[in-house]
Amino acid sequence: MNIKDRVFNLDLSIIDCDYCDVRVEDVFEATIRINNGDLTTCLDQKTVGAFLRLKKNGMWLYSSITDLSQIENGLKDLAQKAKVFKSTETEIPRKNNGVHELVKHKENNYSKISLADKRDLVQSYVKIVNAVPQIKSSVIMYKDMYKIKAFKNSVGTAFEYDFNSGSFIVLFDLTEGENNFSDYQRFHGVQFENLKNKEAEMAAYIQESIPFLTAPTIEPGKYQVVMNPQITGVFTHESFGHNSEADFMLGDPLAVQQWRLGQAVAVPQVSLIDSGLHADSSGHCPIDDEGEISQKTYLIKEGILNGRLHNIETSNEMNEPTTGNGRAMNFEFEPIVRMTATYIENGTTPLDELYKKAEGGLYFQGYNYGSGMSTFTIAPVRAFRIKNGKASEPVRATVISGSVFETLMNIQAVGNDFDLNSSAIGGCGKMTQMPLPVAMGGPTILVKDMQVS
Amino acid sequence: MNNVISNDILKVSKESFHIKVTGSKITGLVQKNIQKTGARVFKNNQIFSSAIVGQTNADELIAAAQRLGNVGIDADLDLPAPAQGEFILSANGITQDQVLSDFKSALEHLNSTFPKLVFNGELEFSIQTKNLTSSGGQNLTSAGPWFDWYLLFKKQGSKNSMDGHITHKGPTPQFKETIDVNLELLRKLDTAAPIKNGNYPVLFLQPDEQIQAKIAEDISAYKYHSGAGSFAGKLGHKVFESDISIQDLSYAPQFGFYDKFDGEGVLRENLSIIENGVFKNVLYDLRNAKKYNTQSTGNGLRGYNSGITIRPYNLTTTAGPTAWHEILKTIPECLVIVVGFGGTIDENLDYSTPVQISYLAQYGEIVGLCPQLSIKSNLKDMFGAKLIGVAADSFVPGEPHPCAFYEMEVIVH
Repeated sequence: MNIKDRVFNLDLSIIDCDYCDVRVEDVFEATIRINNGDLTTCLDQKTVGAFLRLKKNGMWLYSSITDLSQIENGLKDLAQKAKVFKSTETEIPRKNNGVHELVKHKENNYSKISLADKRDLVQSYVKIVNAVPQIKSSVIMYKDMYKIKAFKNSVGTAFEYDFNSGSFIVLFDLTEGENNFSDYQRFHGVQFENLKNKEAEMAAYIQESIPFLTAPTIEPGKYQVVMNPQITGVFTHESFGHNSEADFMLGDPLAVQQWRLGQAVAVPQVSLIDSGLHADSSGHCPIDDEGEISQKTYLIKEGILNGRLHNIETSNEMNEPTTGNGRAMNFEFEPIVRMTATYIENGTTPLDELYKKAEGGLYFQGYNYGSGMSTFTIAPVRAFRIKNGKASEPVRATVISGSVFETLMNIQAVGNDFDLNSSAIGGCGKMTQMPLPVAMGGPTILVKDMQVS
Repeated sequence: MNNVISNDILKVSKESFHIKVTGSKITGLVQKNIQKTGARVFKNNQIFSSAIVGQTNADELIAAAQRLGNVGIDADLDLPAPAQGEFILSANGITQDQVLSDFKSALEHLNSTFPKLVFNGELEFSIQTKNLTSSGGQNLTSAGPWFDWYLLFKKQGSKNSMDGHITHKGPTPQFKETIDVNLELLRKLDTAAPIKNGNYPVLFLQPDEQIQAKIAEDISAYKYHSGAGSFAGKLGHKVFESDISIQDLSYAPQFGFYDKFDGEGVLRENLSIIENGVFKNVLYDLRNAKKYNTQSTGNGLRGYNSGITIRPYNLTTTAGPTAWHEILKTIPECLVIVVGFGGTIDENLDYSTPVQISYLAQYGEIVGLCPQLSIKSNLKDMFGAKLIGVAADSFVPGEPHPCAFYEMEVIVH
């Protein structure tokens, strides 16, 4: 029996609880790793597991199992365990969102490509790396995933949905005398075909990296900064996206006031969005792990705080509409409030005009790391001084940082370009769930008074 | 290796109990018991792998590894000598009910002591059992209890998703000890401490993850022999100040480390990496040991569904002679780093990190919370002329990493 039939045929009305749901995941994954030219990992696997969730007497109980014949018994067991808890809280009834069949990749997905073809593709890129004498150490990692999920809850919502995503990343260390520089390039494809014929792009990128071997280090201080779409994306995700996840406001009515919708939080050129509807991205999630349909959620609209991200629980607690952001990393975890594809909408400023406004400032391209609280930080890969209206002289900078809200008010121009960065390698981490596939991006933006060190 | 077929099977079983905390209340309980198994079949100088989540058996795994279309990797290595052993520690009678009750009491204590803070977090109590068997005679098992819990806290009305955290990892929960050492910091959360740009003694309560990761990467055979790492060509040379000794601990039950063998079935002992400032050992797996004509250090790590990668287990600085609070008492003004993440350390060991949560201490007394700032230095300086000292103890009693003090540049945002 396929997982859809197994889940859709469950009779959850016999479970003694306020609410329960079942999510079964059937996952195919392949992993390839090449270290310094040697193939060290080449493996694919299939995993089938179920996540069971039940609420009774004010307490959530969860369980993960791999024997699908035990779903019903597993739920009954959770209901039994919940009997020891007592609660005076009234459970808000959930709504039936209907039945959704959203499988799109069944006939053309990563599980249909042979492991040998994947290995051959990844190995074909080794020669590009080996052709550069300054590269002393390199790793090429490949990962893909085809996942089918089937879900049903005790109020009648059910869905089947699939997700197909693959990436490879080339990490390389350049060395010349005493000088070192590390860099990477990542490729993503919803289909395997998207990962082919990247030789020229790779070779060009590596050549652009070589001047950084001898680049001078920047003096720490405040700079006018141009962020490329990748940096805009990580800023958007880390600095504002995580703070828009409503679960951190639970139990704190004052925080809801602080994050009052309708207040100005950015310059009017800024609209910031989370949307699971981008089918070509790794943040694609048309229906979340609670059966809520995804939507385009404006967190900031033209500078005004407009919304936040919810799962059903936070939506009920805060009496705000659901947004389809209840997501779990895999069948071993419960859905919590997570982002999907998060980005700033592109603006109207042509890039040449944007660079002209940034004369004497710094341009940043790519990042190694990003994090955010009230102060966000980004460790960039490449930095350039902007001279004569373009990114000209490579320089080294370790960290860009700033206050989230000051930075949103310090945005001077929003470019008319747009790129959404996706990956099947790594992802977003929250609590103990990492990595969850997400996407992030936006246009090139110009910000004043950013701390660079 | 020859054409003889052999195999090994790594089984990782984890039984875990989780408690979820949302809005200062216990809101969920999780029970998991999941087995994950990976097999490697050695045939025609190649290694063919398979991996299965859930109940399985050796025949199914080996058949999956040998299935038509599977792809092998070169097996240019000498398999380890046969070894058997069980390295199993019990949870000493700690039950899930007891953990739930104690955690609930700890949370109630925090809620009543700090009613204006909101706590969110999770506790995991697990026993993970690793068993590696092989047709060549390996039968090795390790297991032990593990607690990993954290409570993120925020001031009511704070725009942040967190204003700090209380956290502990180890073989026992240490609720009281962990909360007690954090009390003074929590009480000063509303007091602002003045701090200006300049050079300060800086106390790291925990080692910085970026520094740990950089050292881990550069001491692996991949990086060392490529000539690209910061330790390349420096084996046997003095790389840091003499007070710095770093070990790679895999077996230290007092800290919850239970590994006596690696993912290739190589028995191992804890390994000295830096001894009194001298770089003593590069990390090897079997493949790279053969390639560079040496012995594996037992650092061929492997998940049930991954190939072998060279990594340390737990890089731990050897403790010094004086307790951290005694060192702190001697320092007129010291920056105490509680949460500092998002930084980076580059190929030249230049290190910079933003500090999200830090306190100013004067002669051992916590004055108050510092504004957002960054700290910077170079690792050679931190482990050299700018090293003030490595303490005798960790911040939370019983954890593996002693606190450390360095002179660093502080940049207030």
